[in-house]
Amino acid sequence: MRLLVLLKQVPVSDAGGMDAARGLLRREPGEKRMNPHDAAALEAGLMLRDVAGGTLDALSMGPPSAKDMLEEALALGVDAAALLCGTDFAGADVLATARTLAAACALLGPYDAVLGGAFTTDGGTGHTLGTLAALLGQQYFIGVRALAPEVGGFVVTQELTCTVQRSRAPAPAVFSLLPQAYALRMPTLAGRLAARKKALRLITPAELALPREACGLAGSPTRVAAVETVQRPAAAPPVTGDPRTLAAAICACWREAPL
Amino acid sequence: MEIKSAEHLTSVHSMNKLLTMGNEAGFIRPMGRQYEDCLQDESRRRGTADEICFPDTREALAAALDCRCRVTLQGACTGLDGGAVPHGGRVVSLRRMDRILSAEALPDGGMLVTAEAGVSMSALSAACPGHFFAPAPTEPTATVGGVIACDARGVFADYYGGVAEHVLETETLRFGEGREAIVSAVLRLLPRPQTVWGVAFLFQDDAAARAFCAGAAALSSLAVNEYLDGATLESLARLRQSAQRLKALPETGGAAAMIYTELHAENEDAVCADAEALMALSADCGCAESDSWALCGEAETQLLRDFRHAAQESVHAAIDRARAAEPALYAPGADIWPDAARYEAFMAEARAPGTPCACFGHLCGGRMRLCFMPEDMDMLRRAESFLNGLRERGGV
Repeated sequence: MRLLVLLKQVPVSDAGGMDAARGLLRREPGEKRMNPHDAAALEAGLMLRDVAGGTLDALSMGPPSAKDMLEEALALGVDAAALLCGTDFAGADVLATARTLAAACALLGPYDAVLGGAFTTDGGTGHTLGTLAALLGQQYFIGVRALAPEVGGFVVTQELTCTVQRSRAPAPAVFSLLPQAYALRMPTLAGRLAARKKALRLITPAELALPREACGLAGSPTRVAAVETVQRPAAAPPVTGDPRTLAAAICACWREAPL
Repeated sequence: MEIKSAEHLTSVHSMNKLLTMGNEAGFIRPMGRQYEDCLQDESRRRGTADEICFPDTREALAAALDCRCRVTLQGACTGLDGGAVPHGGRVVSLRRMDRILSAEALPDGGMLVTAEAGVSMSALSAACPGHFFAPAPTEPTATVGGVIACDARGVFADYYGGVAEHVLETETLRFGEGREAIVSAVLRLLPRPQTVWGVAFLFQDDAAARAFCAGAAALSSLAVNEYLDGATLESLARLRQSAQRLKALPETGGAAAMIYTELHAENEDAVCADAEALMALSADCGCAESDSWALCGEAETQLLRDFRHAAQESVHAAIDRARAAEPALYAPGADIWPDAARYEAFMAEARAPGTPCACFGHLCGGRMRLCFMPEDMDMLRRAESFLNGLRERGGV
C-alpha cells in the first residue's frame, strides 16, 4: 500500500497577520509548527502503514523552513518526504494549491490514499483536499475519524452532520481527517536517528508537468479585494443585583441587540 | 563565590531613621489575610508571622532587617524544605528587589549580569536571550537570592557547574546573629548550546534504569541525566489527568523508572554520535526501541523539562488530596546523597515504614530528592521518624 500525507507548516501565533496590499498571508520569520489538524492525518497514515505495510510519504508546499517540519515527520516514521519549494509556488489559492499538489502526486505516486487535515490554522478554507480529489478524479471522504485497511481499499468512519457513517472506500481515495481522530505519537530515538538517513526531496516548479502560469499567484483566480480587521466590541461591564434586576438587564440587552 | 560587601547593620547610618521612614511609608505592615501566600512555601508547611514588608531598595532592606524579632527572608517561596516558612516575627520578602542592574557580553560568548535578589529565573532568561544560568532550577519563578541561598542545583548543574561556579560575587547585608541577606549578585550566564536534544527512556526494571544512568554518564555531550522512580511516574500519571501541559507527552504506562537525558553540543553530528551510543546502551539495558521519546531543540525539549519539574508538583498534588481529610498533612522530604551501589538497600529502608514515597533527581551526581506522600497522620509520623533517623546518621 502506498500512502501520502499532506502537511503544512503554519505560524505558532497569528502575529504575522495579512499583507493588506496584496491580500496574502505574511510568511515572515517566526516560530512555526506543523498544522495541528494535519497531525491527526500523519498519525492515521503511520498507523495504516504499520498495519498494512507499504510506504508512507509526506508532501508539503511552502518556504524552505518547512524542511524542519518534514524532518520531524521523517523522525516519526514517514518513509520519504518532499517539499514543493520555489517562488513560483508562492501566493497560491485553493485551486492553484490543489493543482500543484495533484501534479506532485502524479510525479511521486501513484498513491492508494492521500490524507490531510480538515483545515489549516493560518487561514485555511478547508477546500484544498476536496479540490485535489476532484483534480485526481478520486473519491473524497470528509470528517474521517477512523480509517482501517481492507483488501482493495479502506473502511472509513466519518462524522457527518447528524450521523456517524461507516463505509467502504475503494482505493485510491482522498481522506480529510478530523483533528481529534488520532493523537500524534512521540518520535523515538531510533526514529530520530534514522531520519537523518532518509530522503527529503526538494521539488522545483520545473519538475512538475505544469505551466508556470498554473501555479502560485499567477495560477490563482482568487483576488482578495480588501482585508479588514474586525474590532471586537469591548466587553460590557458585569451586571450585579437581585434576580429581578438581572432579568431586566438581560431583556434590555436583547432589545438593544436581538440574537 | 566572593562576598563583595557584607555590612553589619550597625554600620549603616541612621537605621532608626530609615525604619521610621519605612513605617511612615507603611512598608512594614501587619500580617493580613492578603499575605496568606507568604506563610507557606512549596514544602506545603504553614507558619505564622506578625508583620511583613516588601523592601525595594538596599536601604529599605537594611531598615527591614533591623528589628529584634525573628526575621524570615523570602524569595518566590518555591523551596521544598520550608526555608521560607515563617515562625512568628517579620517576613521580609525580596520579590520587589527585582531589577537587573547591569549586563555585559563576555569574550567567550557568555554574559556577566548583576541582578538583585528578587529577580526570577524567567526574568533573567527574558533579559538575556540566547543565554542561561546553569544552576537555575526547573522552577521559573525561583529567584536569584533563593537559588544562591539554597545552593540550588538544577538539572544542568552536574554538567555546567552550580552556584559556586556561576555566581561570581554577592552583595549582602548582615543582620541578627550572623545571618546574611543577599542584596544582589554578579552572575555568569553561559551561551545556549547550538544543538539540544532531549531524550527520555522508559524502563520496565528499576535496576536496569540505574545501570543505564551510570553507563550514560561518560558521554561527553550528556548535559542532563535525571532519574525518576516508578512511584514518581505513578504520581505524575495522576497529575497528568488534570494538568493539560503534561498531556503533550504520552503516558508512561506503568514503567518502573525513567531516565531523562539532554544532549548539548555545538553541532548535530556531535549530538548524534552520543545519541547512537545512548541508543545502544538503552538496548543493552532492556529498553525497547519504542520506549524512548526524542525531542529536538529548546522549545520541544522544554516539554521534558516541564515533565521533570512536575515530579515535585505531583507529590504536592497527592498531599493536597490527602489534606482534604487531614489538613495538618504535608510532604516531608529531603535531599539525599545515596551511594549508587547502596541505592536499592536505601530505598528498601525508606519504604519499610509503609509511607508511600517517591525518589527522583541526579542519581549519578549523587543528589536526589526523597519525598514522602503520607495519607494520614500515622504515615506522616512514620515518615518524619525515618527522616529524623537519617539526619542523625548524617544521611541527609
